[in-house]
Amino acid sequence: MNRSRILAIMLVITVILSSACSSPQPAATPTTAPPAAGSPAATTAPPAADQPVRGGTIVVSHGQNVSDTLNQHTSTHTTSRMVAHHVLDTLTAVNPNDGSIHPSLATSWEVSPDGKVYTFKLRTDVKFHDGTPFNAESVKFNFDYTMRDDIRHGFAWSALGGTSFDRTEVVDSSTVKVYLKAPNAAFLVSLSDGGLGIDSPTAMQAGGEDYGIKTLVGSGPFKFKEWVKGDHITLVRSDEYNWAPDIFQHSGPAYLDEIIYRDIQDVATRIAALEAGELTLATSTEPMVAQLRGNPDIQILLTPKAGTARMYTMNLGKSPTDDIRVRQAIAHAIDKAALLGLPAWSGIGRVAVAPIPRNMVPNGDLSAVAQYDIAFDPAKAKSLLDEAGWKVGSDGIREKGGQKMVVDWAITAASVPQVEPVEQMLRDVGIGMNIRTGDFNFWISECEKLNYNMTLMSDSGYNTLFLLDEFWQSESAGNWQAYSNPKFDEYLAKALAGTTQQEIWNNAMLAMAETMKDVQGVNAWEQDYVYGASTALRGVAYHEIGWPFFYDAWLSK
Amino acid sequence: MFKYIINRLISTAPVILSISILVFSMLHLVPGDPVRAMFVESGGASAEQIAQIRNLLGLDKPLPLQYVDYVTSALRGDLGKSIITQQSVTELIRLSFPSTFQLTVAGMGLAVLLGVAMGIAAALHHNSWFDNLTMLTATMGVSMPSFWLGLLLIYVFGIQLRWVPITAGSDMRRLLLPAVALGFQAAAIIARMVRSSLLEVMKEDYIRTARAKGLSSTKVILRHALRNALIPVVTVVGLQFGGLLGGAVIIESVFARRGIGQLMVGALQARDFPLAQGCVLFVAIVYVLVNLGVDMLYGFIDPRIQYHETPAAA
Repeated sequence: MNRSRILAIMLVITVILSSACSSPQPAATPTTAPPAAGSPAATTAPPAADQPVRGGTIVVSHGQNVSDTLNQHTSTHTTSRMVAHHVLDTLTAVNPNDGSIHPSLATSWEVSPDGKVYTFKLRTDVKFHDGTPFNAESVKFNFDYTMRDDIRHGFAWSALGGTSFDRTEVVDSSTVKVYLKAPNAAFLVSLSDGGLGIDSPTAMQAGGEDYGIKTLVGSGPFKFKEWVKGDHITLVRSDEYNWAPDIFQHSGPAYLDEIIYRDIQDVATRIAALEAGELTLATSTEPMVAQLRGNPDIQILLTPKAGTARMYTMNLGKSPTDDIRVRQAIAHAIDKAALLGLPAWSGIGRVAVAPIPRNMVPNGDLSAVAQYDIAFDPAKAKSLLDEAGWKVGSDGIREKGGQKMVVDWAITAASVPQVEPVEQMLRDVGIGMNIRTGDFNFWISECEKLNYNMTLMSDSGYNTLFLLDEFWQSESAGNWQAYSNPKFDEYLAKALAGTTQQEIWNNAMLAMAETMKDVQGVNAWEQDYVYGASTALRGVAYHEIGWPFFYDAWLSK
Repeated sequence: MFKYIINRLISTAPVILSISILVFSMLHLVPGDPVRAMFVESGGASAEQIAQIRNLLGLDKPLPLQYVDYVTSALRGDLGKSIITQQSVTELIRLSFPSTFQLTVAGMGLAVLLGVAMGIAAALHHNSWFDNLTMLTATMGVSMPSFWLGLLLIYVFGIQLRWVPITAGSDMRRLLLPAVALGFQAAAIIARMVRSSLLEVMKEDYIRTARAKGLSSTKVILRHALRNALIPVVTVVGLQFGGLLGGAVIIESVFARRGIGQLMVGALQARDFPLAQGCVLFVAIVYVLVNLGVDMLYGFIDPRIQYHETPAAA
């Protein structure tokens, strides 16, 4: 290496810098505007604005990257299901608008009177992306694989019913029977989840440990092309696809050529990339929406989140929230409608009246439980606290037996904007707050140890019964509230064993009412999933959970 | 020289071992369980499920045993498998490091080029307005956090002017903003160092002699002044390299670049112990090797520097 040459180059730069002395002009010539991420590859004559056109690539970022695997048999990550569902078909399909269950890979089914045996008739015209046929053996192979004890029991394992799943039996090539050990009112709905999508058995065997990382083969509208870890996943259209369930707007192959899922975890960067035209759709958050609303090239897509309401849950096992009068007082002190008007919410979401939002119950009807919702009434809150023996101290914070009334919060750092506004509301009735924050792991750990009074909690999922079970069933591992009510357990068990919709929902409502009478928390607001998208993106459908599904999607320009 | 290198390498072994113990214990001390974390966003898991996965992963073994398992595998060159993806940690690092290396080298290259050039220019125009401007810029550069500069660059060049893409990709143009964000602080430090070092050297007798011999200004600076002024600069560059590797962690997040930083952050969030340990160990080894390289470079720049054959001289 010629050292003098390197030094000479540096000197030249020095001379340029010092002799120019005038403000240096950037050398880069502005190129033409970067191609919009979603520019269609080949669309000819401009079609009518509302007519779907074929072609184009969309670039999507859901932030949280698929960090485990696309193999749904072991995956535990929701983003993984979101992506894989485009590649894998499911036995059933749920219409997100009304919750009705439609045929997909299964053309019809029968349920035994005891609710334990499901007989599915299957399509005979479906081929996996590797050319192998879909049949009853494929279903059995997939379900058997999910239940294997030497692989991780991920989301799919619990969706099949976990320990209450028995076995799968091939009747003939287009008929399969599934045996359960106990009735599972949600079984048909669970089968519509991408997490229970059917993979090609041949591809799974060939892929071995790399299946779900280097390959993923299903029969869905898009084929897996590649996953560059930490960067992107690319799916391409399957031109053979001709078996879409009737919940969609069209049949035949999808419109888009390609979907690229980009890993952009930081929400500010994600929104910047969307504004710069590098993304077609980005998962956003409420506080970022204000920034996007003024942009004419961007549309805000909102879809009700399937899951519980956002709840300020309370720990019944720790003072002072172990006293129902204190919990009632807290509920009376929080003005839910006022919260939703604050910038942290950007006007998104609806005041909740129950732990389960309206979009999760038949006809959006929560009238059976709404009466137990606690209204904003600070005067009532004060009198309840007086009655419980908490007297206002010199600093405005109540005291009892020399102890200050300070409610201890353990929350994730991301929840801070939606918890801080509560502080003043509680203070107005004489309750102090101590907020401790950390990452998800901190939060889970504190909740599990029941080392908190209040937290902000919710969960996603379309299965109301599972959600009720997870949060409040006295034996549940996810019951982080020290909640134990035999009546609740009884109603929930009846709902889970229910064979008619009426039986299921009557009991579910009774169970929900119990948590509300016990003031297990403040059911604060019904949440929406928030997406920012290019106005060119049309026809996005939503999975029953509220995730975007791109089979019907197309690009208008 | 060869013996010196061997000795230096041997002396790093206890450093690496201490780092491994430290990282292992710190990871296990902070609250959080990788198996719980896996289910954070997918509706929780039953107790049976958690137990089954913990058993499959060997997380139910006592901690000292887990550490012994880890070290014995690591000595065989096997850093284990990621808890989350079940992929080999070595493989994941191998896939991610080129991107981080590219970013670090680009950032360093930019820092050296810009820093040395600004330093020389400022020294040549000592006490002029240009000198003041350069030093003001350098002070700003030193005090500006790289992630903030990164966001600023995204806003100006990515969103407003749309000159360069802001998120990662194969396109070399996409390297530009992250490299600037990463290298600017180092450039500022190098500029200040070159300037002061050069000003110092320019006062030396041998420079006056060189001038008296009738050598051109360029020759005086290139052959005599700069070469001597560069020794402290090389030290700074070496130290900055480690800083840049650390900075790449943040820059990779801001610009959504794949790389070892992104891998490490993801591993820490998920409490993916083997992956986090592997990444930290790897970065520590790279840092040690780079420092060794820098020490070698002294001899290249100044032949008067001799290497002793005992580690103590290191």
